[in-house]
Parts: sequence; C-alpha cells; structure tokens
Amino acid sequence: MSRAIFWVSTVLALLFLVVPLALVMPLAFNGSSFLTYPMEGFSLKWFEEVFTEGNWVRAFGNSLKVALGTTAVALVIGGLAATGLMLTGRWLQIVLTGLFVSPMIVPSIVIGVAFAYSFGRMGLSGSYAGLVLSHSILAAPLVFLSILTSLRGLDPDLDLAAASLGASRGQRFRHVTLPLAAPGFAAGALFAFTTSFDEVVVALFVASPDSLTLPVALFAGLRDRLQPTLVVVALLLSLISFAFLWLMARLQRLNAPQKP
Amino acid sequence: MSAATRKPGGGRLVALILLTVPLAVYAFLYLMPIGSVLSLSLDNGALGESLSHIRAADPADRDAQAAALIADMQAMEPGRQAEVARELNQEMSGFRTLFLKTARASDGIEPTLAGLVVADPRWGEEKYWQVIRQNAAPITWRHYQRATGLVVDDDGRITAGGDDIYLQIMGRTLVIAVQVTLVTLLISYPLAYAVANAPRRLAAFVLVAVLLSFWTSILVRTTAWVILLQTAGLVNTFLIWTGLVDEPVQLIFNRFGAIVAMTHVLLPFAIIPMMNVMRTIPKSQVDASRSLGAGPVESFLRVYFPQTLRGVGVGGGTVFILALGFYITPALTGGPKDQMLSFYIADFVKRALNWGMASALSVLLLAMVLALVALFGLVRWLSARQGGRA
Amino acid sequence: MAFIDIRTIDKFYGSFQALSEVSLSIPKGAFVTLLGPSGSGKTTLLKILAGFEGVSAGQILLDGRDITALKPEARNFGLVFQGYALFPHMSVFDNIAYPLKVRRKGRGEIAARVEAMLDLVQLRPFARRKPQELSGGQQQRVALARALVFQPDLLLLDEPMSALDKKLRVDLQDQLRDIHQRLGTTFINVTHDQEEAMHMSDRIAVMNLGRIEQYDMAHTLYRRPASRFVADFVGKSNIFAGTVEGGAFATEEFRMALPADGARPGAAELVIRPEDIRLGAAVAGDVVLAGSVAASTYSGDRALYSIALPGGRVMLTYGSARDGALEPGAPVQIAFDARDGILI
Ligand SMILES: Nc1ncnc2c1ncn2[C@@H]1O[C@H](COP(=O)(O)OP(=O)(O)O)[C@@H](O)[C@H]1O
Ligand SMILES: [Mg+2]
Repeated sequence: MSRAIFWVSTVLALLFLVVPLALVMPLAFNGSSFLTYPMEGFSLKWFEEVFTEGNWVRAFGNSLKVALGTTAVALVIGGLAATGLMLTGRWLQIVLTGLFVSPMIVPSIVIGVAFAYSFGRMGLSGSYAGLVLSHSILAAPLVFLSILTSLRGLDPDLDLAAASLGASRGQRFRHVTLPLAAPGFAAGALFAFTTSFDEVVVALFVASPDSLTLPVALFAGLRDRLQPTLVVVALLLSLISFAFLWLMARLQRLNAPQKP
Repeated sequence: MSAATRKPGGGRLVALILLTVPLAVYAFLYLMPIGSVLSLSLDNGALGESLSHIRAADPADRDAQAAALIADMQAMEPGRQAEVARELNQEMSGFRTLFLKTARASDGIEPTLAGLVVADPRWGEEKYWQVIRQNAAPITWRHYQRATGLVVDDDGRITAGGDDIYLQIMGRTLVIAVQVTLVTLLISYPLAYAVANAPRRLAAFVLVAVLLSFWTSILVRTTAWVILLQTAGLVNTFLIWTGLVDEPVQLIFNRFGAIVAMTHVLLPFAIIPMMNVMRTIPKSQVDASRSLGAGPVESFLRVYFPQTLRGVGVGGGTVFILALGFYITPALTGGPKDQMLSFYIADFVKRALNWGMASALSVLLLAMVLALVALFGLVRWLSARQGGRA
Repeated sequence: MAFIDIRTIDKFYGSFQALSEVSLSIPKGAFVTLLGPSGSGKTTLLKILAGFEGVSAGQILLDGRDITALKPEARNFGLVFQGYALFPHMSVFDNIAYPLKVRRKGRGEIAARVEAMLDLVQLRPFARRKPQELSGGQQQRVALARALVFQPDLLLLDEPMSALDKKLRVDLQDQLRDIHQRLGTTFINVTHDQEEAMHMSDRIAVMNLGRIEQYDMAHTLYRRPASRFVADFVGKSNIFAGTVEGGAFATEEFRMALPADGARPGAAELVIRPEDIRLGAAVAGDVVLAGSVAASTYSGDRALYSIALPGGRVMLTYGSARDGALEPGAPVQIAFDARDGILI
C-alpha cells in the first residue's frame, strides 16, 4: 500500500514536472504552423526564420551583451562585498549580509518600477548601461553568496599558515585565498550570466525597443500571437540554460576533492 | 576562527576599502531607487508645487479660497495647468474640463466664490473644493487612500468609505499565493522524497529533472504552458481525441491556467530545500521505528514526516514570497480576474503613467513581503530556540 | 640573556581569562614543550607567540627586542599547525618553496634549499605529489619542512603528533629531536601527552587553567613537582593529604619521618610514585602497609596494581608479572622508603 502511494505520487509529480517541456519543445521542428500534435513532418524552417529575422538576432545580441556586462559588474560587486565582509566583525557581517542579499527578496516588479523611475531621471532609460546596472543588482546577491560560501569553506589555518611563512595580506589573497575560492567565483559568474540572460520583468521596464533583450521579445511575442518561432526561441534559451547547468555540475565536481 | 581572533595585519582598513565599491553601488543603484519609490508614493507632484496660495488660504473663508485658486491658476504655465488638471481628474472625474475651462478664463473672473460660480456653477459644489484642499500639500496620502479604499474626511477621521478595488486585488494576490503554495507543496513532497529515498537510478533521474527545471528560465516554462493550454493547444487536442469532451475547454486565461503554470514554475524552489532536509534524515530511523513495531505509514507519519517540516516550511515560505510578487506567469496565463498586484503596478507605469499609484502599490507589496520574511524569520528563530538545532 | 622572553602575559577573551601572568624565558637552541590538559591555554600562548592573537597585557622579547606588536608575517617564526594547514592546490615542492618565493629568493636557491629540506625529512620521491596524496606522517613532515626552510628564529609546533597513531608518533618524535639537534633552531612544542614531552624536550612548562604551574627539566618535574597538579598530571602518583608536625608527616594510614628538611608545619600532601613502592618485600626503616589487590592491569613486562588499604584508599604500584599477575582479592604488603616521598 505505502509503496503504491509512493510510486503513484512520484510518477504523477514527475510527469507534471517533465512532460510540459518535453511535449512542447519538439514543436519547434513542426512542419506546419500549428502548435499541436500530430506534427506534420520535420522541418527546420522555424529555426531559419528566427536566425534570419533581424529582430530575434538583434535581441539575442543584446541579451548576450547585457549578460556579459552584468557578469563582469556583478562579479566585481559581489566579489568585493564577500571578500570585504570576511574581514569585518560578527555583527557587521550579519547586517551587511542582510543588505547584500536583500535584492533577492524584493519583488522584481518593485525593482522594475524603482529603476524605471530612477533611470529616467538619471538619463539611463533604455540604455545598455541601465540594463547592465539593473541586472547587476539582481545578480550581485547570487555572486556574493556563492563567493562567500566558498570563502567560508576555506580552512582559516591556511591563511594563518601563509602569514607565518611570511606572506603579506596581498600575497595571501593571491596565492592562497583566490585559487582555493576560484570555483565560488566561477559559480557566481554562471549565476550572474543566467540571471541576466533569463530576466524579463526589470528589462520590461528598463529596456527600450532598441535594447530589447531576448526574453522581453519572447514575452511580447507571447502576448501578441502564438507561433512556432516562439518555441524555437524558448528551445534555444533552455539549451543555453542546460549548458550552464552542465558547467555548474563540472565545477562542483572539480571543487569536491579540495575540501576534505 | 572566531571574531575575537586578530586577523593577521589588522583587517579593518582593508575591509573598509574593499566594501566601499559595493556599498556605494548598493546605495546609489538599489537603496536610492527603492527610496525614490517610497517618496514618489507620497509625492503630490505638480499639485503640491502649484497650489501654494490655496495652501496658505484660510479654509473657512470661501472667498479667500476662491481668490487663492485664481491666483494659483494665473501663476501656472499652460503646460502646468494641463498637468494639474490631469492629476485632479485622477481624483475626481470631470475635474479636468472644469479646471482647464476656469484656468483659461481666469483673468476675467472676479476673485470671489460668487465670481467662480458665475464662470462655472460646479464651483458651488463643496466636493470640488474638498479635493482641491486635500491636494494642496507637498505630501499626499491620496495614493494610499485610493489603494486601500480608506478615506480621510475634512475632520481628519479615517473611514472605509472609498472604492476598495485594490484591497480586493491584494486579497486576491494573497489567495492565489496561498493556493499556489499549497499545490506546490503537495506536488513537491513526493519528488523531494524520491530524490532523498528512492533507489539510486530513480533518485538521480528526479534530481536531474528538478535541476533542469530550476535552470530553465521561468519565461520558457510559462511559454510551454501557454502553448499546451491554449484553446487549440495540445491538452485540448488530446481531450477531444479521447472523446472526453466535444469542444475545447477554456484552460488558460483563468484561475486554473494561472495556478497550474505558477505551480510548475515554482516547484524547484520548494523541492530543493525539502530535499536538502530529507537527505540529512538517516534511513535507519524509519527502519528502527519499523523494528520497534510501527507499520510503514505510522513510521512515516510519526518519525519521518515531523523531521521534514523544517524543509516544508522553508520551501513553502520561499514559494509564497515569490508567488506574491509574480508578474509574468499570471500575466501570460491568467484572466482579468486572476491578475495579481504586480500586474496593476505594471499597468499604472506602462499605460496610465501614474507613478504615484504604481509606487504606492509597490510599497504595499514590498511591505507585505517584508512582513512575511520577518514572520518566517521569527518562526525559525523561535523553533530553533525551542528545539535546540532541530 | 634569554633568547625568547615572555613577560607576564595576560589574555582575555571577553571576560574569560585564557592566560594569566604567563612568564617564560627560553634559551637559544632549546627544545621547550608546553604541556597541559585540553583548554589550559597552550594554543592561545602559541598563537600569541606567532602573532595571530594580541595580548591583553605583557610583552614578548626576542633577543631583547620587543616583538609584541609585530605582524605574523614579519616575525620570521615557523609554525607547524595541528592539522598541518598544507596548501591543497600546491605540490609538496611548492608548499615547501612558498616561504622562499614570498621572500623573493632566486630560482636556483629555492630549488637547492627545498631539496635539502626534502632530504632532511626524507620526502624527496614525493616532491611532485599533492598533500592529499600523502599519509598523515608524510604530511606532518612536509609541514615541518615548510616551517623550517626559511631558517626561522623559532619553530612553533601545535600538537604536531596528535593526528598520528602511536607507533608512528614515537618514530617521528625521534626524527624531530634529531632534526632539532642538527639545525640548532629553537623549538617550542605544544602537547597534552606527557610521554611526548618527556621524550623530546630540554625543558617543560606545565600549564593549567591559563597559568604556568612549573617550568623545569623533565627529571625535576617528575621528581620535584611544585604542585599537586603537576604531580598528578606528570606520571602516575599516590597522593596523601596529611599534616606536618614535630618533624614528621602524619596521615590516617601512617606516620613517617619528613623526606627532606625545611617543611613548614601544617597541612601538606605527600606524593609517592608507584615505582618507589615495594610489593611484598620491605627494607628496614620502610613505611609498611597491608592491603589487598583490588585490580590489576597486565602489560606483558609488568603489571600495574591497584591495592586497596583497609581505610578504603587505593594505591598504585608496579609488580613483576613474569608468572602472571596477582589475583584480585589476594592479600599483599606494600612498603616504601620515606626518603622517596615528595612533600608539597
Ligand atoms: N577565540 C576564543 N574566544 C573565546 N575563548 C577562547 C578562544 N580561544 C580559546 N578560548 C578559550 O581559552 C581556553 C584555552 O584555550 P586553548 O588555548 O585553545 O587551550 P589548549 O590549546 O590548551 O587546549 C579555552 O577554555 C578556550 O575555550
Ligand atoms: Mg590546543
């Protein structure tokens, strides 16, 4: 009896989790423009359409640029915040951690309104810089947390050992802390990139038609008219996510043997 | 290493230098924009700056107020007149024409109440003056009044006399968030359990499915549901093909669609904390309970389940807080009656260009979220104090 | 003049006093051990010497120079950590070369000195391995080599043997003493293992509750403990509480002549080491007591007996065990020479 409950509930939940994407994604290869089964032959024409249409290509380029910019900025903010935090006292650490991770709990719509208004006044509306900066605020907490986690995981004796061997603070950071915390920095970079690459809400408020990102274009497309090109874009977006997940798993495996 | 340990070489100064950049970025690009939303929700905009004579006039002296209004109108540029008229119109419809008509003719109007009534008889009605008086300050509560349906009358008493549409929306937001949280927890529990306890292959498969889902963007997963649930979509095709229904069922743009899609999108946020807690529970505990004579169901309910509640709490709390502020998924899969607070915030910014209302609703949403986070923090703190580290 | 002079150091963590009035002077080239139970403040004192912790009061002088406020990296002291703290991303060679690299030594010099150290600790074949690929004893030797390669003025060792098994520990103790003699560097070792302390050190500082109870050579410590704590902690002992009066020491069980002159009348304690007790055979003038075997621990070469006296007190003594240990309950006679007693 209890086994039956376990199996039935697991299988049903698993189907709910997996089937929607598994069913929809193949429609990107559908021969007709109907988004349903049975598929009418296999075709790459919707891919061709996406790759040749200026709007999608431009949106993809924008997303890439913004995500790379965000990765760089968030890495600097989160990295400095985490390394600086490690040197402060206990109470300051609690307060600063709260501040640095707080953008994670503020609803994106509120952040979107805040940026849309503030950037309007600063003259950053619709600019590349505005998008990068707003995404950096969303991504910085993730970078901060993953770097902080790996810094906290380091054996504090290693830093003391390096000091006793004559290494200055800068040397210790470069020779000991940085190489050992590198997986944390890399994970932070991956988080930052995907956060920006997938972000819709804030981009809706901050982007202009020229700086439209891929998710914003997809969102607009979904509100406009359903067509197979949207499935193609969704498929491409998920493939990129999967690639990042794979990289992340590799990183964790790399990281594993170093921590006993 | 505890905080009492001296960091080699005295770290305070270095910490300060390192933290300067992130603190400055957070202050200018995060705290200040959020703060500006707060001040925007109280800002009276053009009205606060342009009605200075009214503000100075004696509220009991009708003629003095009439003179002050005319003086204010004469001091405004035409553009400013239009802006003030628009903002007054948001308070009471019909005010725009009244204000603009009077303002254009203001040079020829005698500066008394009687003079104004000659220009337009509506000035004889007290309600217009009430709106003008209430909006003559640099700070206004009118956005919050409109958002909550509470009204402050001339005597400063707060009454629940206004339109409570936004209160209803807030209530609806909470209800949807609760519905989504419950369904999510129900579906997450067996999956988290499977990751922690199923045979290796199945556990690994479920874990990969959860992680793939987690990393796939919310928009992509919402897209899948839009395509599945549309009238000519896969689900309807399937239902008709099996003969269960004769014509397509409305599955999207209603509460059903919104909750199904939101649940799917939020599943990983519940599964991951639950599975992390379940993984720490030794399998031998249930075996021990069985060996002591309890049946499998009883062992589960008495030994296993209580220990997973912490994970359920964290997962449920995360899902609830995320659901409260959700925008794109309900916007794409819900109907007009299923839109949450965030939809109206976006609408005020994008369509009505009413920053005041957008800000006031944003502040209320943020306040709800912060109150919940504080509540969860309190609960966790209390339970940690009660049960040691359990 | 002392090489290292520790002058009345106090250390507070909040209101908790971890060290009180610790003073120690260590001659150049000595091998000194800080011995004490867990929590007695050994690591705290070592961290203060290394510069990782500040003092609340007091001074540390090195060759007459005040180094109390010097940064750890400027002290030029080697330190072997309890968990070794080897850098996991560097090979054995790079770990040992690290202090030379940060001192900007030339490539040739680094290679020569690292190889000399590898020979000293007999790890030359393992130079290219990562620390995780070595056994515990090998890791400890890498840590030692790394802490010695830059010719530190002082080598500090924090329980360097505690993670190793007993047999290996004794081997490494010999090696460590050998290295100390060859290099002539001043060593300060920390341990809670009295055998290790006795085996390796010239001088031992016994610590208890943040204080130094006694600082002496091993033999003096054992034969002339300055306090009950030292007598109890260093070696096995039988301790009698009693009084000194009229040139004699009296307890419930016996009365005997004072072992040494100059004891002041009043309450005192007498320490008798188990090996000073004769089992069965008494010599003229001995204090003789009757009892029965309460328990015995057989260890091959001999047996350790707990002898219960009629008053209920239990005494420890060794006996030959060539024909097997005595059975519990067997009546025995024990005796000792009053002059072997230690009055404290
Ligand atoms: N950073 C610290 N903060 C507070 N108390 C400490 C700290 N470090 C050590 N102590 C306390 O000081 C005492 C001595 O500790 P320690 O020097 O580590 O002892 P030992 O090395 O002899 O075992 C212990 O009671 C310990 O709890
Ligand atoms: Mg210690």
